[in-house]
Order: sequence, then structure tokens, then C-alpha cells
Amino acid sequence: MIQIMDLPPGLTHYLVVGALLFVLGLVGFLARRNMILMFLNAELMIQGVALNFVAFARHRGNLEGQGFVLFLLAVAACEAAIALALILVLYRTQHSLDVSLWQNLREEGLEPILDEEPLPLSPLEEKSPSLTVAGPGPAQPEETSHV
Amino acid sequence: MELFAAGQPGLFRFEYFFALAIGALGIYLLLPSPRGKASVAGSIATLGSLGWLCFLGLAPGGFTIETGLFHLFAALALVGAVFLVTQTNPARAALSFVMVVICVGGLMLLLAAPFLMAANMIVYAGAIVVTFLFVLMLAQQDGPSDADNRSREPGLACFTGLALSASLLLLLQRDQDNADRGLGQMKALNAPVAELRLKQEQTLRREANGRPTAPADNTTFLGQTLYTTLLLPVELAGVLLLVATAGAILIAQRRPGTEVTP
Repeated sequence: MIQIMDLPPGLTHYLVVGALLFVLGLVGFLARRNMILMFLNAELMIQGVALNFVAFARHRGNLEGQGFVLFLLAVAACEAAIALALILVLYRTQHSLDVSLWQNLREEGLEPILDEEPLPLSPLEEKSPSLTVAGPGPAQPEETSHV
Repeated sequence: MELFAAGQPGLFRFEYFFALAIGALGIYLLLPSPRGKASVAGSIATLGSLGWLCFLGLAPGGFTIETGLFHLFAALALVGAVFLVTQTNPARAALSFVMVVICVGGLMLLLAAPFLMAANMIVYAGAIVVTFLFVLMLAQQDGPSDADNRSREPGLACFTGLALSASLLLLLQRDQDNADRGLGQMKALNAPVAELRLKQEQTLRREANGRPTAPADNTTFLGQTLYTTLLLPVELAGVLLLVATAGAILIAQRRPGTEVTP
């Protein structure tokens, strides 16, 4: 039997790291509600896939896998451009990045999900100091114009 | 030595599953929730699971510089990914994504892909994350908000992640077991794959330690591959970029009558 990759970080090590990055991106995409973070998590999944491609390219000793990572970069750049344009349009309409505001697009017959627990109170903002007005301002000469 | 070589072939190694389950529990505790997240318990669980996975990865072979660098980059990348998933502040999450990109770059360097490391960092850390941060500044909100301080079904999401990662690991382990059994037995199980693998292994040039040789001049050979075997995909990627640019401009255009004042 031919032993493929003798030394410890073998192909499987890289595949496991790629798989875990992909899974973390999936969890983030499912659980987070901020649209920008959801798209960042999609980019994280793409990173996991890119790692897989490079690991297989090394394993097979050719460069086609690495070439595909370059196409992955092109696709990720397109995705970012389209996603950010969409986010801008959605933000202009609702003035929030929360995806749950768009749940009227849900499947027919499903109940809407309502948030019942109140949000934690925001920490009190420090007001910037301002001077009290000491009295009426001095009289200014009225502006006249001679044309 | 491969990752799963330490155990009995054919049996699922439950230690991996337990490590993943602890990690999923940690991420569940760390995800933002209006009750406040259990930061300490969640961090301990996540770090413990990560340490356990690193230990399992180190176990089959001895410690070399390559193993050390691999585990350093892999662990940092996973920590960055956990930060990205659990941060409530979106700007910090974007910066932890930069950390993930840098560590994946390190892993690519270990896999003899220096050009891709540079391209990946320039495109992701330099262009995409900056654009994301720019949009983040445009759409800034002050104080806690529904978008950042609540999660959508954190328990189900973590369970999905656990199920997916456990099944991926199981699949990788099965594949490894098949490779360990040798080509003869694999041929009986799955003839076309075994034939392909045999053909590939006959044509491969190998270094002294059994590793396939990678071309010394990565950038030159990558360019050659791009413009010979991958010429059509290169052209298609150009068309895709053009269409995406036009689409982004069209989508983001302001149209009268669609905006609502708050």
C-alpha cells in the first residue's frame, strides 16, 4: 500500500479544519439576525471550501484546485457586491439591518415569530457639557443694504 | 500518519463527537440573547472542545514544526470564526473575520500555495471586509438592537451545526478507513473510484517522504494552468464580474416612491 502523506498534518487534518470553518459559518448564518453578519458568515463558509480546494491540490500534486480558489475569489467578490447593494436597498426601506423585519415574506400558514423578551437597557449616554445662557445677547446692528 | 489512524478502523470515534458536542454547547451559550450571554461558561466549553480536538489531531504523530504551525493556525482560525459567530458588535465581528482570513492564509502557505495566500488576504481582508465595514458605518445603529442582541433559534442552529460536523467527520473517517484497508479491498467496494485512485497514484511524482511534489515556482505554474486548462472558466469569471457590477449598480439605484421615512 502506498502511504499518502507521511507527516502528521495530512489531508484529513486540513479537510477537518475546512469542515469546521464551514459548519461555524453555517451556524452563524442560521442564528444571527444582522444581515451584514449573515453575509460575513457566508464568506466564512467560502473560506472553508477554499481550504479544501488547496488541500486537495496539494494532495494530488497539481494546480487545478488552486486555480479554482481564484474563481472562488471572483465569485465571493461578486457576491459581496450584490449582497451589499441588496442590504443598502433593504436598509433604506426598513431603517434596520434586522432580517426578522422581513418575515412577511414567510411561507403561507406559518405564524410570525414575535420577540417577547425585552432587550437589555442601553447604558446611559454621557451628555456633553453645555453652558447655561447668562442673559439676553448684546444688540446687533441690523444689516442694511444699499444697492 | 492520518488523523483517524489512532483508533480501531470501522468504528466511529466517539471522542470526536463529544468534543464537537461540547463545542456546540459552548457556541449556544455564547450566542447573543436578550437575557445576556453566559460568556464564561461558553468560552470555557468552546476552548475546551478546541483544545481536545487539537490534542486528538496531535496524537497520531510526533511534534514537528509543521504540526505546531498547523495547529497554531487552525486553532486561531477556529477561534476567530467563533468570535465572528458570537460577537454582538458587527465591527468587531468583521475584524475577527480578518483574523480568520490571515490564519487560513497561513494554512495555505503550509500547503505550498503562496500566491493564493497573498491573493486571499488582499481580496478578503483588503477589499471585501473594508466594503462590509463601509456599509456598516452607513447603517449604524446606537445601543442594543434586535439585529445584534437577539439570535434566531440558537438551539436549533447549534444542533444543525453539530449534526453536520459529526456527519462530515464520520464521512472523512470512513474514507480514511477505506484508504487504510488498501486498494484491493476498495476495488471490491467501489470499482471506479479505486481505478481512478490507482491511475492517479501511478502518474504522481513523489518526494522522498512520500508526499507529492508541488511545482517549485507556484505563481508561474498557476498562471500557466489558468491560461491553458482553465481558459474557459477564466473568461466566464470575467463575464460574471461584469454582470455582478451591472447588477449591483442597478439594484442600489434610488427609485422614487420606494422609500419610507421612519
